[in-house]
Amino acid sequence: MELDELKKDWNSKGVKDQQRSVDNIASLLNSDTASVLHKIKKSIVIELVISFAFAALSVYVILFSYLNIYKILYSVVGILCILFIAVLYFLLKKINAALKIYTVKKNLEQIIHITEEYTKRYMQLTMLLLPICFVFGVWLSYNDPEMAMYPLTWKTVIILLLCMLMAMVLLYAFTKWYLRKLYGNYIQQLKTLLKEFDEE
Amino acid sequence: MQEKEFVELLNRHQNIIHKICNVYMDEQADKEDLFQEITLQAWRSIHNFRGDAQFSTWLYRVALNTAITFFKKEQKQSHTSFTEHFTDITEQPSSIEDQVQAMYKAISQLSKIDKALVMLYLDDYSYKEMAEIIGITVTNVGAKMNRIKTKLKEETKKYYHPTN
Repeated sequence: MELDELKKDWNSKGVKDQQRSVDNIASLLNSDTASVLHKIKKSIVIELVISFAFAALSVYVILFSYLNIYKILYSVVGILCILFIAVLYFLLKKINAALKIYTVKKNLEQIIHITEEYTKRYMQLTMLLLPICFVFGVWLSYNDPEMAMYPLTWKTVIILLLCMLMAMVLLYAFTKWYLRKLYGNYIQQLKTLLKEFDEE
Repeated sequence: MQEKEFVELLNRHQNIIHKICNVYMDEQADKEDLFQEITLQAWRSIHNFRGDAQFSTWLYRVALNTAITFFKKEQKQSHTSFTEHFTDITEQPSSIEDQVQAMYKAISQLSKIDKALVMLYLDDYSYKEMAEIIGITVTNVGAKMNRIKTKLKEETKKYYHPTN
């Protein structure tokens, strides 16, 4: 049998027993989406709200705190928040542009590009947070005379550095595993599909 | 476009979505999930529909984009329900019906991109229109369709065993 001979069957019979009512279709419009781009968009919006909240908190602490160490700490947090907001806004703009209807090939390229970009930035921002938090944690503790590490010795510094390195390795491994579990297979499947377009 | 207007328009063209769900998914639950996802994506993108193309072509594009990027965690290999929805054994002589079923089985073995091309072809889209929807050149569509037709012819033989 030839494919052309199937046209008659395909177009005459169509689908049977599957027709949905108008009410049923309307009820689907408020359901949750499985689209990766929409899920990433939702995460970005939540992260943007959190970043704005921390940026506002930073401004408040910088203006009203009596301790210089807190002013410095929250200045760094504020700068980080601005950096986060800029990256997240850039990604959000890209997603909004990608959600327009393109050709199947272009759509695949966009999803792969954005998902890779998102996982890359997520990794970078996560890895950036740990050393900053660690350094400020130590600094705050050092400035507190009641803390055990006062005065700070070279031995303590080396132990702390080793702890931070270990935490960074663990965080790196965990984040990498987590992102791969969430998006790794999906990106790979889409890349395999994309390769098909260039084959004849 | 208002929700009511959209729902009525989609209701008139829901066959397109059902066909795509039947071709891309085997299990009934997966088909329902995909139907829901396509409907949702169409609703969320309706503001991009300018009316310069036919609604059916626009919906086809949305549905294909959604179906191709829609993955289930576990894809079970069962093709019974795929052929079930497209054929009616009481209407055709058994040999033709068997051949039709064999052809649908062969289509179900194709890759996601090839399935998209076959569906557009069966729905009488020209190579130019297919190229515009898929995003490849007309020459590439022609080459792919030739390969698919040959492959389907060979694969159909595997599933169709005439009894004389």
